[in-house]
Amino acid sequence: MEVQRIAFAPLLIALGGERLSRVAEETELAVRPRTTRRSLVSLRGVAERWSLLLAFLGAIVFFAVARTDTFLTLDNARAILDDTSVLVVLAVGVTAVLVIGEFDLSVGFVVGFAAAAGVGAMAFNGWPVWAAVALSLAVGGMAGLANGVAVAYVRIPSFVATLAIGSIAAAVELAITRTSIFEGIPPSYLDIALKRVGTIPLRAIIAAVVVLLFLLILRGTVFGRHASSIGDNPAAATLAGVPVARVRVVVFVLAGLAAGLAAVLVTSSAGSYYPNLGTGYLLPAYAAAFLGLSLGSGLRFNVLGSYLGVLLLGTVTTGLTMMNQPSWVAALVQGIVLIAAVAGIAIRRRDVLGR
Amino acid sequence: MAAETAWLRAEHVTKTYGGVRALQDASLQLRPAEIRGLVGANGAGKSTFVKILTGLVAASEGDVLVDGRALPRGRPAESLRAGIAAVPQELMVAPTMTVAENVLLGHEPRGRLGLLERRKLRSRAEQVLRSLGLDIPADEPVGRLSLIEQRLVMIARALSRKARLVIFDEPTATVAPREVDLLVRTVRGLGERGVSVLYVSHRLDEIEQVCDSVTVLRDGRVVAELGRATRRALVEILASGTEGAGRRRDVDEAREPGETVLRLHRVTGERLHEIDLEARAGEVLGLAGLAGSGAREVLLTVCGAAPFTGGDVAIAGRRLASGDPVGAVAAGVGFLPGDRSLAAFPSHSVRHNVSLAALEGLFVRRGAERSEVARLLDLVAARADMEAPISSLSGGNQQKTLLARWLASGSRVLLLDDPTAGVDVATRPEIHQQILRLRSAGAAVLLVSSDIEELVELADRVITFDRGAVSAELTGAALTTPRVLAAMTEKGVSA
Repeated sequence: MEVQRIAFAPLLIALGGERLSRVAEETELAVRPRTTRRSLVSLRGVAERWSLLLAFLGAIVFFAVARTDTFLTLDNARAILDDTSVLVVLAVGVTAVLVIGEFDLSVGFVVGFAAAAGVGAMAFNGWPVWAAVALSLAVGGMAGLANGVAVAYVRIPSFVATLAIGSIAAAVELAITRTSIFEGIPPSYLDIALKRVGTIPLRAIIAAVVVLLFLLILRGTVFGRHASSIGDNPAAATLAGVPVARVRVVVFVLAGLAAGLAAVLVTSSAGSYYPNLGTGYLLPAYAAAFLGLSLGSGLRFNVLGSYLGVLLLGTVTTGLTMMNQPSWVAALVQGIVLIAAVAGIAIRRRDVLGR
Repeated sequence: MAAETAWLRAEHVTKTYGGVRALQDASLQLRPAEIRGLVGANGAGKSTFVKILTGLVAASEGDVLVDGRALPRGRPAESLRAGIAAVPQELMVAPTMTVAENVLLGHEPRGRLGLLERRKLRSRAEQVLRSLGLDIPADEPVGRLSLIEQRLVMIARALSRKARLVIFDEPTATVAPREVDLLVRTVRGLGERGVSVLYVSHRLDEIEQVCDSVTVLRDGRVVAELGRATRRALVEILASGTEGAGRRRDVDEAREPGETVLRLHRVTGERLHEIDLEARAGEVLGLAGLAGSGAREVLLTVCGAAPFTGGDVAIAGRRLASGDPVGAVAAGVGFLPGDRSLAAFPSHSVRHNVSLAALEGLFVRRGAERSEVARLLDLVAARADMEAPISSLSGGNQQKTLLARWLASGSRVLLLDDPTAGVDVATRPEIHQQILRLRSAGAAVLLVSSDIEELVELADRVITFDRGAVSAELTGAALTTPRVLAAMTEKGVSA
């Protein structure tokens, strides 16, 4: 009888039934020796903490089996890493803003604005590549500064402030570019998207470096500690002497810089500027960040989780395309994955709070 | 005799969380009109018991029977329908809605088409308020009422649902002394109307004053059930089994305080009028006053949470800017708010919570942080795992942890707002000891407390406030509870 139950519990967990595993755990309490119970609980805990990684590995295994010859190749791995680089950079910037408990809904528009500025400077004014890249970053940073000041000093809710500033950025972009496509980009700019370091695409390396940089900032610095304290309890952070407004502004600037860099990664690969090129990135960037929320035990937004979230979304999209599924299937699967992840988080949070 | 029998029985209720037994084989009977106290140290199982009664938590074993019928476990709606209502510790009102709307929130009278019937809403709410003997205008937005009145609105809400049992969880934790009377009267009124009351509180004097009977919990078990219980009897029961409880301060240890650390000169703000005040290193300065009198406002002004419009505030000669918490903390001010939700970072670890105000430079040095936090936790005798979220600790341990934050940052001026509110009887003396330790370490401690006895016991001097101005200063032999109370409540009385 006892043995049967022990054998049963992991199965219930494997079936993914949060409630079931809970029931299993509770019915076990009285009869089972402590050590077994602890290992069961921690097994569940580990499964929860790493569910995103498990989903990612699961997706790889699934597509590897379904499309062995095309999916499980170095070329494809390279392509996924390269394709997702833009989203990685954006998602990481968005994550920093989510860490302080705010939203930045301007990122997609800012990508377009920064792209127009950088490419325009090269195409019409003959700016060198480095200056164009710097301009894109500066434009992104300035937009972030505007967001930050609006939120931290004018105290406009970030949801509204960033939507409005994003809308203004998009309007200025379209007014200046007259809704046209720019080409005539120097070849060395296109190299950003073509070069490889060893066998890995440069864009993927840049994205990974941005991930590490944000990881260092948010986890390793006093500034990062301040940022996450603001996200958890802004009133308490204020009373504890955290320079709340300044930290908020800097975080929005960081997100803006990330959007500026993302613009460079997009246009170097596309070989041109085209209108509204950034707008499609907003939702997946947030989807990735919310997927990433489930990584680790803290139930907090974190850079590595967002990175893994982007990779999961990219893998699913690529894999489904290879299986010749229409694009709505990818959107559907992404939506379902996101809902499942967020629901899982809600349940865990309830459990953590003792229900 | 029928009215004398218990209508509600909790029988052999047990609750386990993971491997921890929060409540073990606890039973409780309530008769109509009975006012029952529920006391016990934090972690004794009081809130678990309350949550099981209200259905917020499902019991692992045992049942709650209403009129002999077992309530389904873990179903708040069923418990509410059976007449069990709770007035929680935190206020749960919609501040922009009117009193009437708040009273009938969730069960508003509806006419045909399901539309709201405003007139009926108002008259029903007024009826409930009147039956409680409350004089609160039904059309006033709740946010404009005082905190105690907001709490009374919540009681009215419970009553409007035809509650047979109203549970109060720490009702006076954030209430000024004068207002407690109003609450106590209202609770008594409930009893007179035949409603049963379960009164959960750390304040034993209130328990003595209000309750017909008392249930004492310790470590999840019911250890005593008493009829009318005196405060002394309760202290004895609660203190037995805990060490070091009730340790009193040695009055003779009084020594010469050091130089002036904090100076307020003609400070004027929204609720302060030309306050002059000095606090010296190595003294505990008590600030006493009713809610809104200015005592608490002094703390808020010094820590930068409230701006001042005139005068100046200086720490060791250095003037502070108005409404600048960053500058205040940098100058050595540490503020421990009475409401822990204004101090704790609930999803952060104890380590992060302690070290936050002390972090300097660009990078966090984890090794140094860990050892320093461990040392401080040890110093304040907090029983806490450094890496556990602070929200997993008991109220008393959270408070010690937050005190450790200001030890970590080396604060010279500590502002303590009701530091033992919501802290259990056994931990109270430990917090008191910490306050005295800070004093002997040379900090200037400004202490505000709604417990006047606590002020008298701990403070070297007490300044009383009335309507935004200093009304008296009491020291030495003049520093007694009746004198402080008199100075607080009578304008212009001097020692």
